[in-house]
Amino acid sequence: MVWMGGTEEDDRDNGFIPVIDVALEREASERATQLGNTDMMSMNTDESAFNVMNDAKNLQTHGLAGMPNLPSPRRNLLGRIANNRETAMMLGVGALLGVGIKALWDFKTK
Amino acid sequence: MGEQILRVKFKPGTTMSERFDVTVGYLQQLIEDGIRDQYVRQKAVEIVNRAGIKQHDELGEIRAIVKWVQNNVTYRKDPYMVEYFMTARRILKDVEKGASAADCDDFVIVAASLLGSIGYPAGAIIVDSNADGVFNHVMLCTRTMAPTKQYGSKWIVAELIFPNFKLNQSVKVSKVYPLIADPNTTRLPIHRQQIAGGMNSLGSVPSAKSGTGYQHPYSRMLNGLGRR
Repeated sequence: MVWMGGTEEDDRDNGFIPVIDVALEREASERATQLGNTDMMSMNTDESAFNVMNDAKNLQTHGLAGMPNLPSPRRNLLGRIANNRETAMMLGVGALLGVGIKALWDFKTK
Repeated sequence: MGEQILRVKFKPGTTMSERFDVTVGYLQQLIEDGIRDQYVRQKAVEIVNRAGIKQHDELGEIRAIVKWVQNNVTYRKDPYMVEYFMTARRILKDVEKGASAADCDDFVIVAASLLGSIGYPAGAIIVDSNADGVFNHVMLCTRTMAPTKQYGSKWIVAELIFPNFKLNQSVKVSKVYPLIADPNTTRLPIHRQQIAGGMNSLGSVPSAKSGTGYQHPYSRMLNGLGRR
C-alpha cells in the first residue's frame, strides 16, 4: 500500500489493509462506550438474586442455614474480651452491688 | 500446571440431570482448586493491599476483589456450542498478559477463588437470568465471617460480568442453585485428574425454542434440573 502523495511502500500492513483501532490508542478514560446489547444502560436490575439466595427456605434446602459465624462482639454480655470500657463498667457495677449488699447486711445485723 | 482450560462435552444419551451434576461438579472443583492455589492467594493479597483496604475490613476486601474482577477480566463468550472452564490461575495469568477472555462461569471461578484464598466462604450461584425458571447464568456468592451492619450474616451475591453492577445488584431472577466451595477437600486438583469424555456435541438435539436450535450451554445442561 502507498499513502496518497507518497512514493514509499508502507511496510506496516504487509500487503493487507491496515486496521488501526483508534480506541486502542486512546487513554482508557476516553474510550468509546460499548454499543448494542452490551451497553447495560437499559437493563432492569434489582436485588432478587440476593433475596432469593437468602430466603430461609432456599438456605434450608441447600444446607446453608447453619453455617457458623464469628461471634459478634456486641451480642455478648461483655463484648470482646479486649473491650476495656465495658469490662470496667461491669466490674464497677459488681463492686457497687457488693458494697451495697455489705452495707445492707451490716445495717440489719449490727 | 494448573493453567489449563477444561473443555466440556458429553457422550450421546447423557441425561440433563447427569450433565448438570458434571457441570456443577467441575465448577465447584475449580473454585476449590483456586482457593488452594498459593498463586491465587498472593494475587488476592496484592489486590486488597493495593486497594488500601484496612485489616479486618471484611466487606472492603470483598468489594475490592469483586471490583478488580469486574474491571480487569474481560468478558468473551465461549466458542459456539462448547463450554470452557478455566482455572483461576489461568485467568489471572491471562489478565496479566492482557489476553483475558472469560465467560460468566470463569468470572465466578476466579472471584470465588480469590475470596476463598483470603478466608471467605465463597461459591457460585446458578441463576435463571430471564426469571423463567431455566438456569442460564452464574453469579458469585460469598459472605463475611462476622456480621456486618449492611448485610448482617446474609450471603452477598455479585454480578461480575458487568463492571457497573454493585454488590447484590442483579437482573431479575426467580431461582438460584448455590454451590459453595468446600475448603476442606483433600481430592486431587482437577488438572491432575484423569478426565475421560465423549466427543459428542452438546447441541445434538435441536431446540424447539429457537430457530437455529442453539441454546446457551448452561441452558442445555441445566434445564433438566426442573425435573430433578
